[in-house]
Amino acid sequence: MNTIPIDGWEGATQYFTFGADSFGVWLFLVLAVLLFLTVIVRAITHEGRSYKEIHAGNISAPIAMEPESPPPASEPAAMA
Amino acid sequence: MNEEVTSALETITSVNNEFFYWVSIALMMLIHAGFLFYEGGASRVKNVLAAAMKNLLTLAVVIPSFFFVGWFLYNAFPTGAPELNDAAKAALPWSENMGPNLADPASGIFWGAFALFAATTGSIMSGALIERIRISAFLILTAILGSVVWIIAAAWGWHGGGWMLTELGLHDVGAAGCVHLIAAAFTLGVLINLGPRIGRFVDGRARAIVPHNLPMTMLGLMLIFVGFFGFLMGCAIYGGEGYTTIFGTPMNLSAFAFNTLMGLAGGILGAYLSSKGEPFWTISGGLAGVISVASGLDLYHPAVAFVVATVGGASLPVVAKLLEKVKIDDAVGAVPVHGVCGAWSLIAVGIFASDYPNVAGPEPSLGGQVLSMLVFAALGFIPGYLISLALKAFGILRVPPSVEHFGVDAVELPSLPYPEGIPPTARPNGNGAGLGAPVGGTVLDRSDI
Repeated sequence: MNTIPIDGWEGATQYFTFGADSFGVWLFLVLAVLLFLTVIVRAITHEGRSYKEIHAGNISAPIAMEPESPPPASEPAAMA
Repeated sequence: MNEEVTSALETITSVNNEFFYWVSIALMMLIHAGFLFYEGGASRVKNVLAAAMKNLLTLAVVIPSFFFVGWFLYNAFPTGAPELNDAAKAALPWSENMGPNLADPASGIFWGAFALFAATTGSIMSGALIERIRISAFLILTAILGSVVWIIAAAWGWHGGGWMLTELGLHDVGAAGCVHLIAAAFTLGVLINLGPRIGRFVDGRARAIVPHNLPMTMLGLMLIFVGFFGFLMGCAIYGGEGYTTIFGTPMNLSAFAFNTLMGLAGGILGAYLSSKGEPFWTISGGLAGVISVASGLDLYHPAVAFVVATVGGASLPVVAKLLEKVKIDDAVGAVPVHGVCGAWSLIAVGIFASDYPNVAGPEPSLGGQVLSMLVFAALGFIPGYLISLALKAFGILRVPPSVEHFGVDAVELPSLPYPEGIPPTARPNGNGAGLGAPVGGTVLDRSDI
């Protein structure tokens, strides 16, 4: 794929892939915007599904591990 | 001076200019690291990662959207109405200036600095909405705020040809109005539609929901302070003959150093006094202080900056109380810190720095500053309110109550910030340490996790 808009570095100005206002730049701009919008839409649908899961009871409570035994009432040595 | 020397000097100036803003951009990244910690710490354990992810995604959403439309809007809107001038054409994302170009060492670096300003507006909003907004709704709001709303304000008020400069003589060198106030006003509009967190107001009375990790919040704010030095670098125009403000008036970084530091100190002390030493408000006072002096950073005597900042810092708990009275749950005080202090910053220039010579418009005046403040507030509030109202109408603004009870992390991400639990000493009744209520409100218990 020929993406290079220059023949050499001498006198080069803009030299990014495809070159300004080209079909390639437009194509990738459209793709980038679509990707951007897709992420937003996916976030919305992902949330909708996640909320249904919790209503269906498919997500368990994120309870952190409990200590195996209650901590002692006081333990001054712990500070040492 | 012969041609070679002239050419070498031009090259050095260009390289220095690029490097100056490169450093500014890098330092501004710390603002986002700071907000991530700040809001993560301010959340309850069940929502820490959602708060962090919002900040991370703010960058990821605002940067491309600012590339697509933001830079164009800045260059197309200075006179108020859209204008397809040469600068606007050069800012279109398919133009030869919006990509690697050996003849243009400025566009990318200025675009980058402005993109980080834009992301900062999103981060300002983010903290206020924690623990109940849907991440997708936040992403939509932050893209619109960061890439459309604030940048139109910047075009109007912060552009060399902006009508608020040329007609009103606006002086807002550190972007207190066009970044902080507009973001906070937008946020206020969203907060009205979003509503408070469950449990924030019970039987008509406000209950504090305390940060799960106040030291983390404080670290976040310290990072934001560092980042603001980069933010303020981006507010200066650096060229071969020294610095000017974005309005073209002469300045130097010494002025910024005097007044940023005195503002930081004044804000902290003001909040320390008025909050009776409460840590969250005291450290937030530092940010409030810098914002309070931001509009006149280049003009104030440091003692004036200190007093102006102290007033701003002292206002925080008072304004937060007023918001509570109208049942608005601004979880981190974004409206007092960025909104009220942003407005105060603009007004303070009108009081203490009117009639300084201007380059591209009338001299700054109290009337011009107040009018500009009202324009910024309206330009932020109206879209924030209307767009969030629309999201609410579609049912995609807020998480359902069951998810709010459960925690956004486990349901939406899903992940846990502390999978091995919280140290027993951090739990109520654990090893005699218990869990205090530093803001004088609710005490966390296991049912909150």
